[in-house]
Amino acid sequence: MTRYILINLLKRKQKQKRITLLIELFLSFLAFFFIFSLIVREINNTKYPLGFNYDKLYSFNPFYIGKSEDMDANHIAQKELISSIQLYPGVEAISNYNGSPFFSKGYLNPSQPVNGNGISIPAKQINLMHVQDGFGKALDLKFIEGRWFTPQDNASNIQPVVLTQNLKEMMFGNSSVIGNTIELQGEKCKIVGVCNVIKHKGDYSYPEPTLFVRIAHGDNVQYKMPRGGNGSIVTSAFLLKSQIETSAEFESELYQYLKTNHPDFQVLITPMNETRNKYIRSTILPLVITLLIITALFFNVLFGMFGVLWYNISQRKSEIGLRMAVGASKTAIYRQFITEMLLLTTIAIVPGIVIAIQFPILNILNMEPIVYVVAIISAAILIYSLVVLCALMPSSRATKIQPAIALHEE
Amino acid sequence: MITLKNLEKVYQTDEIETVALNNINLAINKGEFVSVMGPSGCGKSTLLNMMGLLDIPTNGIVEIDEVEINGWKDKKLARFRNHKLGFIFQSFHLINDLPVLDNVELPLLYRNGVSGKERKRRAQEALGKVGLSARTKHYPGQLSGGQKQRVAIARAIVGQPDIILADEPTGNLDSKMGMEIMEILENLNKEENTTVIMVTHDEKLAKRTNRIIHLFDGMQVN
Ligand SMILES: Nc1ncnc2c1ncn2[C@@H]1O[C@H](COP(=O)(O)OP(=O)(O)O)[C@@H](O)[C@H]1O
Ligand SMILES: [Mg+2]
Repeated sequence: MTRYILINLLKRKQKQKRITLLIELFLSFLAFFFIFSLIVREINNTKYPLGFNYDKLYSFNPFYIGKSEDMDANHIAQKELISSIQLYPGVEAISNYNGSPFFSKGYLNPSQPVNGNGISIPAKQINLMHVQDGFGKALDLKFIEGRWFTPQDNASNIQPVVLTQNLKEMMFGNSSVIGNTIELQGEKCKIVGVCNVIKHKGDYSYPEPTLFVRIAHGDNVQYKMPRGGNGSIVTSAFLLKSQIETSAEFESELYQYLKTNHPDFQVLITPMNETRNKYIRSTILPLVITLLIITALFFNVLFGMFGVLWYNISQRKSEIGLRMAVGASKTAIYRQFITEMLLLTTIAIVPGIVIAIQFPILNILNMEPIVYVVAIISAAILIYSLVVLCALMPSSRATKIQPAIALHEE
Repeated sequence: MITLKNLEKVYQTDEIETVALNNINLAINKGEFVSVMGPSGCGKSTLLNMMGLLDIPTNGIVEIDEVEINGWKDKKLARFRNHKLGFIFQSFHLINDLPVLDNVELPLLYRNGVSGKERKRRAQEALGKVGLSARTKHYPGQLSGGQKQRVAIARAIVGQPDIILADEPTGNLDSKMGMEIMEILENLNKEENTTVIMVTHDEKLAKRTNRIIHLFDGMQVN
């Protein structure tokens, strides 16, 4: 019977009507796939914790406004400033930070793929952070294995790095990795630790696989920074962690202290809390609007598909009457219509699935493969259920009436 | 072969009751060729639908081969229609999207144990009987009215039913084509001993049958 239906499906005239239906199903599948990818991505992202504590964090940006044009003098002055802040009461840690900003979009990727364990991870999948020894403490990173950077790393003749757990799993799976090396921009790096994943771009973002590279300078540093990395340059972006939760009082006292003791610098101190609040405000509204648009799109596609399917089957009432007259039972009619619609749907969505599978394979939208897999399966389940429903309802209506009546409906 | 006892059919539509058949008592014997005549709207099609088990009577009994049909379940009815009955309609009721051969094999599709090959062979044979062997791959839209009706006859006989129910089979055809159809039905009746019940408005055709049943306003008149 299935073979008969398939052959019949292909042989039936009025191909145009079926092609319209095929295209409708195909496009609906892609639309649902797209919608579900976005939704699943959002849901998937909420699965991960933020991974760091922002309560006691400040961004700290000193700008040199002194007279000296000499870059080295600048650096020396900045170094003095940082040493002085490290001793300031209430400061827990401070670290130079060179990476994409916290609670904000933007990227800092390596310029070449990162290689290790025979695996090459495309550069755009890796978030790169150049940091100092205080950074681990500032973020309260938890270690799955190994440790954070320490001053002893100066003695290493290979650049030390720390990986987030998801990056480590991408390259090394579940095995232990301390002491293994990876290659970053042509330079060997030694893994000293694996820490928890972080969503530094914000609560609604995806935890990017992150590679921490240690910034060190001074004569006693043995290793060479990876080529193309700008970790050797001290920039004016720092993260500062206080011992107590961020407060206006701490802030203004620190400002006052710096004004008196380091007049060559103009300093900008921003509590991470504030940055995060801004981020949440600016993310929620677009998120809600996107969700509304997606919902509208979803129902649009849904009703469009329902309409086309419904029309296709209701048009065939008299055919149903005839089939009953020549001896088809209601079960046989249902079976035929459902099989026919399922076959048609399969023909329509197979190319859709082939296209959808390219997304994780080519990593087009930079999401985790699981997101696409869930989206593909959900889209397929939704389409198949709708199709079965649309095949069942009109055929059920047609079989409820007597064949004599059905025969006269056109 | 077919017996109707006190048969009544009432159509209920929006507060209007139409008594389409009123106290019909009728017996049709095996191998008979019977015609049904009467003015438009007198209940001829309704009568055929009752005999063909395509609709349920409001009251009364339908017996085929001395078996009372009333209350049969869908599966049993479908099986019975498939094996015993063949239908021919005034408007042909061919599936226009399907080629002739596929239209003809339709009843066999719903019969257990008939292979695809066997279906095609028997459909081909049935088409041979109505003189359409050369048209198997055509679509209904490419055929004349007379040819369409011959396809419908082939479909009605492909399952070798005992009874053919034809509702104005020549109603949409000119008299020459109508005569061709009549001859095919007569041959079936004579050579295969198929019982034929035919609704017609054509006195000439009716006179060639064994018996004429006259209906008027849902009742049988003599
Ligand atoms: N499905 C139906 N619903 C309501 N009334 C119907 C239906 N079918 C037939 N009738 C009515 O029943 C009567 C008999 O119809 P029919 O058997 O088709 O007559 P004929 O075939 O003799 O022209 C007519 O009055 C017709 O309007
Ligand atoms: Mg009629």
